[in-house]
Amino acid sequence: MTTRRIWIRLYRWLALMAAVAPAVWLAWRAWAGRLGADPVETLLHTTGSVAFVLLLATLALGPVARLAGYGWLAAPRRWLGILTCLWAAGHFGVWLGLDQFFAWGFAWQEFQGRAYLWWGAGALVILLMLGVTSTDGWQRRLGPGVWTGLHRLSYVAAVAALIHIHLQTRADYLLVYVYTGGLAVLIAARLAAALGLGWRKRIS
Amino acid sequence: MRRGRRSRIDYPVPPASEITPKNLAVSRRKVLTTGATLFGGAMAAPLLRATADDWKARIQAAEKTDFKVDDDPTPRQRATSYNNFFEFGTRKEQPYMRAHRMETDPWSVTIAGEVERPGEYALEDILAPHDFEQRIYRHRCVEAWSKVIPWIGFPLGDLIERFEPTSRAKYVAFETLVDEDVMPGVARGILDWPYREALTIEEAVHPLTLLAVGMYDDVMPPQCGAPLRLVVPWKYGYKGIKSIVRIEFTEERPECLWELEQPEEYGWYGNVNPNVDHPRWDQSRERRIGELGRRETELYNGYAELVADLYPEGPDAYW
Repeated sequence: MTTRRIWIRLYRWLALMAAVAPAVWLAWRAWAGRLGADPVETLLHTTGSVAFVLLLATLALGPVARLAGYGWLAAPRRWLGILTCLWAAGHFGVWLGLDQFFAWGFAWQEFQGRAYLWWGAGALVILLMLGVTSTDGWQRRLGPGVWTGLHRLSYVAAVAALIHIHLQTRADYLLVYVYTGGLAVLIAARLAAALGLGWRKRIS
Repeated sequence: MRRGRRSRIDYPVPPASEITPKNLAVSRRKVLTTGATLFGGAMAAPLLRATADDWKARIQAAEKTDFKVDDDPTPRQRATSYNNFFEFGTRKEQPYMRAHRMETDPWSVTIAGEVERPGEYALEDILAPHDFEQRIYRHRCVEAWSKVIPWIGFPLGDLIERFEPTSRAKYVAFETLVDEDVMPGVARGILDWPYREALTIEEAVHPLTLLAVGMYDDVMPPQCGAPLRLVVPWKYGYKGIKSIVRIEFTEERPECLWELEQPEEYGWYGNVNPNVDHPRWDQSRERRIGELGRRETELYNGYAELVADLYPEGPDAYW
């Protein structure tokens, strides 16, 4: 039992390190002056992409654990969720701080009539809300029903983020298709589980 | 030219007494080009190779003209590793990583349509009679980023004069090389290739419009459109077609690739205009590559004084 706990703890830390690793890599590139021709764009795109992929990975842990029949596979879900939230906040911070350079008036002006910004902001607000309520305390305070319902909004955040990405794509939609396919599979798995379809296994 | 108004562009205006009458200039060119053709025809292959490299040797000797802006040029490394050349992929560094596989020597350009001297010409013959000059222009992409580039080339108008368009030539259309063996974006068909762009004949012969063969005192890097590309500084970058293999003079307005792809997003004129928004993102400001924050985008990319006359119904009617 204790060895099992140690392994799960190790697995959780490995997942956390994987989610933090891109930040270390970016920091090293920034220090070495290797952020490319346009460092602001590199930071903007990398933080955004990591946030989205991490969100998909977080959402995938549950279905994967159920499919495999090993509940512990979902153990890093909360940590990955919080990291997703931090990456998304960092993404917004790069946009506001480095791209717009805190030109508040212009930043607000840019929001007006820019659908992609609203979709991105919507996703961020949901993720921040879920990040804040991710603690045991909030889970207890809200009660299991409300809390679970609230955290299902993570799928809404993922769809909003996907639209945010799609609206800025030119010509080559391959990555958008890959992301859409991945998210569609996750939503299908979620719905199948909700409907109690056959493949659901007992979590040990 | 309006004099006395402060302009950020130094535009060299020769006194009227020094301007060669057009018919004389044209006939002088005819003598030159006829001579060049005869000479070329008489020479053996090894000598032709020598002339083929001659134009590259002339790049470093290009005259530094007063066509320049006050801003510092974008560092060469940044300008040549952040490019849109979708044939090689849509990520900014992909042209830099892949375009060197493109064969640019030998190169030929087809001149076609409403023109007296159509045909397929070797690049060295196209370039032979033209003196190269350096011009430092602002470059504004439709994606709201910008650079400042020291180009080397010659006015497109000079080339057009040589090939003698007919009176029916109202537009000039350009096409980029298509080679799916080295162009992943072509192989995957992400757009309806070949890349096509066009100008009105008035825009094409405007003194600012440049055919560029180099940048930063060197030959054009492949990712920036080697060996021959168009530079139209008051238009969005997508109008500046790269690696040109065909120039056609037409009476009807030619269709352009981006215009066909998303007509509501990419206008035929593609004039830089902070007041005409791209439907998906802001056009009123731009990020100069490598800088923090954004600069205000200027009408016609800051060249309004020089080009406004081309657009009598006002800038918003020609987007």
